[in-house]
Amino acid sequence: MMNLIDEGGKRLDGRSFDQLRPFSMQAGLLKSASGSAYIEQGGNKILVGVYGPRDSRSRYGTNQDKAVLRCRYHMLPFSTEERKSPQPSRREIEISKVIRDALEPALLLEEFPRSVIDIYIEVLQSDGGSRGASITAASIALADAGIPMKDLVSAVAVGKVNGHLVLDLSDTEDKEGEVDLPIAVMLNSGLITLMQMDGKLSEDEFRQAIDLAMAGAKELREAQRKALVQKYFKEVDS
Amino acid sequence: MNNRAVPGEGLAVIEEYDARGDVYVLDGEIYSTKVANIRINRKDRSLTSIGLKKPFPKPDDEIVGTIDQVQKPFVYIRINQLDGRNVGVKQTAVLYMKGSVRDAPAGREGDIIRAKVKLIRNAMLFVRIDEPELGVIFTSCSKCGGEVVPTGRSFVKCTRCGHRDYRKLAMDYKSGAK
Repeated sequence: MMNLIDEGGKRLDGRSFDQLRPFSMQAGLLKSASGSAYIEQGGNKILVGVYGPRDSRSRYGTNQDKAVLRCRYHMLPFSTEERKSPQPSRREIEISKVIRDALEPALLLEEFPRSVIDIYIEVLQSDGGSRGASITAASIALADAGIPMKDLVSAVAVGKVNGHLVLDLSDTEDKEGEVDLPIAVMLNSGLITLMQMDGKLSEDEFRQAIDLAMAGAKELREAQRKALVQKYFKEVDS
Repeated sequence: MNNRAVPGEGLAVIEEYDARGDVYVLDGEIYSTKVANIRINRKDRSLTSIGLKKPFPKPDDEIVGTIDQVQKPFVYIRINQLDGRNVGVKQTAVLYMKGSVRDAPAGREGDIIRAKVKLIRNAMLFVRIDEPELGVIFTSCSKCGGEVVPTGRSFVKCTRCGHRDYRKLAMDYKSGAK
């Protein structure tokens, strides 16, 4: 097993176990989209555009009672170490669905019957935990589009590396670690909208992992708020 | 309390204020559903969250759009502006012309028209042009595409081919097109 924790109890990139990677978020970059956001989290660079609500061109795939949320998660050919085919892979299709399911509980889609809302996520650079970063950014983009939401959704992964629970896995920790547990949460209600787990955790470890994820999500939520305040109120919130 | 909010931001509890506008109530607590300005009226104990971005027009909102299709008695308008602001994602509005003065379409394909939202039913926007400032603000000859001049309040005449056609012109016809 690769040693991912040094003697001083620090991770490969010098972070402590409960520390997020450096991140920055920005809202409203794209002129033609209804809402947009950009996030950098560690090596991840992700751009999200939201289009809609708009009337569907066909009756197929629409709902008479609420808007239909569609999501496309896409990694650009230069986003990974080796060139990635631009065609949607099985993984991308799965992540698109997972992200849609994670965001849907936060949206008041009943206000827009027979409409569609499209979320386009472009991963410009990938560094592990891109689905979490995508959810965090998509949430900002949806708020930027003016779509009514119960809460912002914040997402982060917790993992187990060399027997230690760690927050916000990097690409190496994701690949070499024992467990990967991405979690998306609506902090007001405490509702977890996404949870996937690779590997095994004991019950105690699992509880600790949730607490760790909640603490990370709280930090991300504050940054989401700041990104929106900065765009709409033109000032940095204290 | 802050006078601005982002989605999910706690504003008050229902015992304090009557929640109005873009809000959501969960377990007795009022949350904003949009990036919004918050107005508090202490007289009637109300709290109103006013979203800064409208994703969808509401009744009486003014729209400016291009006529996409005319299928009597319906005129389909692609919305370009909502309340004076350009919209990124174009929506379609429907103008129902049955029972209008001439029972004729207010404009032709390609015309730019100003209208107000009448009602929204099943996410379909129905608009009206029954005010003097509403109607076609830019048009061209439906036969040759030439420049037209208004003759009277409801007709335009082509300067090239002389074709005369009905339009429901806005009061500021031509000068209103931006």
